[in-house]
Parts: sequence; C-alpha cells; structure tokens
Amino acid sequence: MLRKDRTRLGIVLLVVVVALAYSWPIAGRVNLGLDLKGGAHIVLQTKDTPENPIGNDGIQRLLAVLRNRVDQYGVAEPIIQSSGADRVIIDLPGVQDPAAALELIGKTALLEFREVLDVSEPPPPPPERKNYDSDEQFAQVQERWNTEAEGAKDAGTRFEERAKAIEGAIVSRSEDEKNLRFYLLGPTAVAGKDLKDASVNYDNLNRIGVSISFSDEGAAAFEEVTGRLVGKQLAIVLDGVTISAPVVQSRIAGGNAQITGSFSTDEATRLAIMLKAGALPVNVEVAENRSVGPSLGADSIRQGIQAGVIGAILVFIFMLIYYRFNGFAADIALLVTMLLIFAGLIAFKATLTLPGIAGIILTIGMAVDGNVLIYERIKEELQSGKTPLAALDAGFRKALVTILDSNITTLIAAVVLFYFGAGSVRGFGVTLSIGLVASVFSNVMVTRVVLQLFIGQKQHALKRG
Amino acid sequence: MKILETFNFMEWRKPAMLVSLVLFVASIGLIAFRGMNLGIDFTGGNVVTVEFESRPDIGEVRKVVSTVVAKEAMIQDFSDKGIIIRTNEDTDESREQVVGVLKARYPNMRVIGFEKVGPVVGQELRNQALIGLTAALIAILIYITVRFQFRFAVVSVIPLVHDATLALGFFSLTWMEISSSFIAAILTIVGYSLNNTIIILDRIRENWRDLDKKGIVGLVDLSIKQTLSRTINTTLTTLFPVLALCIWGGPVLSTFSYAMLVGIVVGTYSSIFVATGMIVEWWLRKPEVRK
Repeated sequence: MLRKDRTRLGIVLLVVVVALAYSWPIAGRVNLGLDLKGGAHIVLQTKDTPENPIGNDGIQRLLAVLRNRVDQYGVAEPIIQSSGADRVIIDLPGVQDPAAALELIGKTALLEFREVLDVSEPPPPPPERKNYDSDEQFAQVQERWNTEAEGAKDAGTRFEERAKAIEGAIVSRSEDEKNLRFYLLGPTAVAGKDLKDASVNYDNLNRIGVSISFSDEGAAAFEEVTGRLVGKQLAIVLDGVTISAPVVQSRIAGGNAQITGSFSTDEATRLAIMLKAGALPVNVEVAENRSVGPSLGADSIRQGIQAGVIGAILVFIFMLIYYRFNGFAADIALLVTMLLIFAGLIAFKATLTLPGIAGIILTIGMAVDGNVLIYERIKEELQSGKTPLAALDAGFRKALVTILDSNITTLIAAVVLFYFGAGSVRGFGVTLSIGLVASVFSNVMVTRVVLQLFIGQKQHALKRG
Repeated sequence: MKILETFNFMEWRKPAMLVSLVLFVASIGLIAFRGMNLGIDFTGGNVVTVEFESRPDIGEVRKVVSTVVAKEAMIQDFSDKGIIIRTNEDTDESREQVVGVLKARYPNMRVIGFEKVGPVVGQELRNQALIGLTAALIAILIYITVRFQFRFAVVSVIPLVHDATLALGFFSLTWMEISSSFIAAILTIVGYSLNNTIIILDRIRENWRDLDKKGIVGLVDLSIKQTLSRTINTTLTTLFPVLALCIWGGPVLSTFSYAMLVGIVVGTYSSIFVATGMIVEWWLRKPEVRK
C-alpha cells in the first residue's frame, strides 16, 4: 500500500468514525418539518391602512404581540419571525387544534367601549309553516317577513349615512347573527390599550365572561363615560363587532369591568389572552395556512421510510448481482453516504421535510451512479490489458472528472431550489445538496479504499502463494 | 446487452428526433389547450384532509360539499380511511363551511390536516418557479460552455427543455395535480437528464481524436455504446427508489414521484438520441474547425 493510499484510508476511517460518533443516536436528533411532526404553519400578510401604517416598528410590535399571545397559549418551541417587508411567519409545532390557534393569532383583538347612539330592531323570527292554516297564507306571511328582514338590513346602510356626519362614529353589527342588530356608535371612549389585566371568570348568574381591569388613565376615562351614560347603553366592541351593549346602571369607579357575551370557555380564554397580550398594532390577513395533524405526519414518515428502505434494498441487490464484489464495495459506500447525509442534516441544523425525504431516497439511486461510472471505466481499462491495481487507479482517475461534472450540474439545480423554493420544497434542495456532496466523497474515497484493501490482500496472497 | 452493442443508435436519429418533435408539439398543445391541474400552491384555495371510521362514498361526499362551494371541488381518496377535498375558494371561512357541513353529515369525521393558500402567495410561487427554472438553465448553460464548448451547451440544454415539456404534457394528459413539489421534480429531472447527457458528451470529447477515422456518426455511435451500460445501470438504480416512492411513498409525494418517473424515462431517452442526434446533424451541416 502506498503512502497516499494509507492517507486515504485514514481519512475515510476518520470521517466515518466522527460522523458515527456525532450523529449517534440519530433518533430525535434531526429537526423535523411541520409536515412530518404535525403543527400549524401560518403566514400573516400585514395590510397597510392610513390609520395603521406598517413600517418596521409596526412589524416589530406585531411580532412582540404575537409572541406574547403564543407564549400564553402554551406552544412548545414556536417560531415567530418576519419574512420580507410585510409578512410574518408563525410555526406552531404539535398544535392539536389549528383552527383555535388561527383564531388566537389572526384576530386583531381591538377592544373598544363606545356610546350607543342608536340601535336597529332585529328582524322578527321567520314564520313557521305549522302556525298557518294554508300554504297561501304561509306564503303571504313569508313574503312579508322577507321585506321586513330586508328592511332590518337596510338599517345598517341608513346608519352609515348618519355616521358620516358625526366625528369618530362607526356602525357596528351585533355578534348574534340570528337577531342581527346594527348599532350606531359614538367615538371610542376607552380602548384596549388602557387595559392592565384580563382574566376569565363567572358573573353572579354563573355566565362565563372576561373580567378586565384598567390602567389609571383607563379607569378615569371609564368612570367618566359610565357617569355620563347612566341609564343609556354602552357598547363593548371587539374588532368592530358589538359583543354586548349593556345599559349603564351607575357610575363605575375603581377601574374594573366585566365583559359577558355568548362565549364558550375556550373562546373566553382566548379573548382574555388576546386582551392581555394587546391588540395587533396593524391589520393582518392570513396569506397561507398549512396544518398537519400528528397522525398525518407520522403516516408520511412511515411511508417515506418504507419507500426508502425498499428502494435501497433493490439498489443493493442490483449492484451485488451486476458487479459482484465491486457491488458490495458500492453498497458500503452507499451506507456511508446515508450516514453522512444524516450527520450533515444534524450538523447544519437543517429541517427534514417530506420532499426532503424524497430527496434522500432519490440520492440512494443517484449515489451509486459514481460507482457505476468508475466500474465501467475499470472494466475498459482491464480490457486494455492493465493489471487490476493499475486498472483501478486509471478507472478512478478518469471517472473522477466525469463524476464531478455530472454532480455539479445536479448541484446547480439543487442550490437553485434552495434559493427559490418555498417552505418544504426547500428541504428537498437541502437533502439533495448534502446527498450529492456525500455521495461524491463515498464514490471517490470510500469505494476506492474498500477495493484497494481487497485487491491488495488478493495480490499479497498471490505473491505468497 | 449484446444486442444493444450491435445496434447503431445514430441510424435512428432522424426517426427518434421526429418522435421527440411530435411529442414535444403534442405536449405544448396539451398545456395550451387542455391546461394544467394546478394545485392550491399556485392558484390559492383550500385543501382539507379528513379521516372517517369507514370511508363514505366519494359521490355522496361531493354532493354534501357542493352545497357550500360554488365551483366544483376536487375530491380524492387518501389512504384507506380518508379523503382530500380541494376547493378554489381561498378563505378560511369557506374551509370552515365545508368542514361544518361534512361534520353535520358524518359526525365521526376528523380533520387531520388542512392547507390554505391566499391568492397573493400563489401568484408569487408561480413567479418564483419561473425565475428558478430560468436561473437553473442559464447557470447550467454557463457551466457547460466553460467545461466543454458552446455547441455542447446548446445540445444539452435543448433536451432539458424537451424533458421538462414532456413531463408537463404528461401531467396535463393525466390531469394529475401539480403541487409545489412538482417544481422540485422538474429541476431534479433537468439535473438528472443533464447528468446523462454530459457523460455521453464527455466521451464524445474524449473520442474526438478519431473523428477523421470514424466520421461523426461513427464517433457518436461509439461514444453512446461505450457509455451505454453505465447509462442503463444508472437509470435502473435511480428508477428503483423512484418506483418505490410511486408505490409506497404515500399520496402527498405522488406528484413528485410520478413526475420523476416520467422524467427519468424521457431524460434517458433524450440523452441517448436527442442530444447526440443534434450534434451529428449540426456537424454534418456545418463542421466546426477542431479546437
């Protein structure tokens, strides 16, 4: 064995041992993407409005509020980050109820107390057939009901007209859609930013609600408005919808109030979290939302592993049958490639996604290409009358350029995918790139070392014999 | 492979290139007139994956869903207990309505995953895909021009366009859904097909000194034959895992798997016949002074 060969053997052993020591045990060490471990991936698009311009400051405040909300909701290892100038990406691993998570994140949660200036009557309940004697009678009543319902809706439009004349006034609808009412509301008297705390509790009728306490400033404003509106309605408005509009019984001092509405326990809990974390400083819209349940992710992993193992076994067998011992060396090189891919994923803290798994499986097939190239070359060299070791040497030397050329072009495609690909497709670019580099190493170094060891032994035995 | 070794590939270059041309034009026609079944990644919309205790009839599910969506929803089997519902309406409310009516009809149904993509993101992804593909092709063109020569670069990029177009045509024909992983598949096909082409071109370059003795047809033919067992073996070893992905890889990856399958077959064919055939024709028409 030449000195150069010994160095090569040393490098291969070192790399394999280090990779093994570094990545063992593999289970739980590779970052799994949300499509594999389950969770919600939400992209919020901020909307520029004259009242709430976005700006960098706005995004930073938005991130802070979202972090606050997600923390209080209790999600392990959430990722909340800005993306581009006007987007926010929120990754919530392992969320069981993505719809609830979305409610928590996407709602602005702007709380306001406003004076009720006017309120429309809700439409009467629709007629029921059983209360009428004949079909004609029922049809007549139904028609009359339709006009009345339309009229109730018109109230909203009429209020809009009136609101234009009043400084700061808005039109809001009731939360209860069956008894839809429209409210003409005065300017904001007290707002959510004047809140100090919010928590879920039950009122004396055992209805669930959210109790809030105001800051000093808020408390003073609240006392003033309740004092002014005794005997009149004060609307509690959340994101422009009137949750309730109780009649003020007396001036309320001390800065505490109770919001009741038709809440479920979960809704009340979310509302309390949102009020405490503060309203979103800018308007947002859900641009993208992908949620994968844990069972679906587990299925994907299982199927990916199954396909990968079967594909790998087929490749192993093919190489053994076609190239015999050389095929065995290629199979060992393939095992090293796999090891290096996982070590690479761990080392770069890359995220493994489902397309990423596909990339690894594809690498299994493409990695042996280098071996095939080398072996076909060696065959040719042997045919031209070289000794096994010389043929080996020439085969590797001549195939190396070709291997590099062909892998670099695929690498170009993989890197482009990494830069331009979105989300999980990026994971494919990552595993493919790592796989290409790892397979070139295995082809050129590992295979050669294995073959050299074997052929060297054989020649040694021949000499002695 | 003895039969293949006596087979003169370049005698078939004209019929092969004609077949390629016909398939290429047919694919363009399909893409232009039949269109593509673009997934929500590109169009925006909602996809809900639900699971039942035992899967109901798809037709019945379609009827239930059609009460709340305006355009017809795409409904497919998913594993043995689930279905996937895709609608083109891109609001969260629309998805909740679909889930609502289904839940009312099938109380045991569970939502195991959903995706919503807004219209802006879809448009962006389409642009990104186009920019990505163009960038990759240009980068590859530059690399081959530097490593080989411009002629080789041209004859290796044209088969790539051919392969990608045929894969798109196949997806248009079968109406399989195109998701974002399709872009990954197309780029990989491009890389893979190029890989094959480069290895043959590399051999042609190596044999170039025999040009006067063998003539361009003989030279290219010899190069194809010398690399043939490599081409076939590599195609097989890549096909095995891809076939495994098609059969066992699960429904989420099926776009990717089938695109790869088509791409590998078409890519191998185009490396052997199209790139080489073009070199021969080009040379016969306009021989270039040897470098």
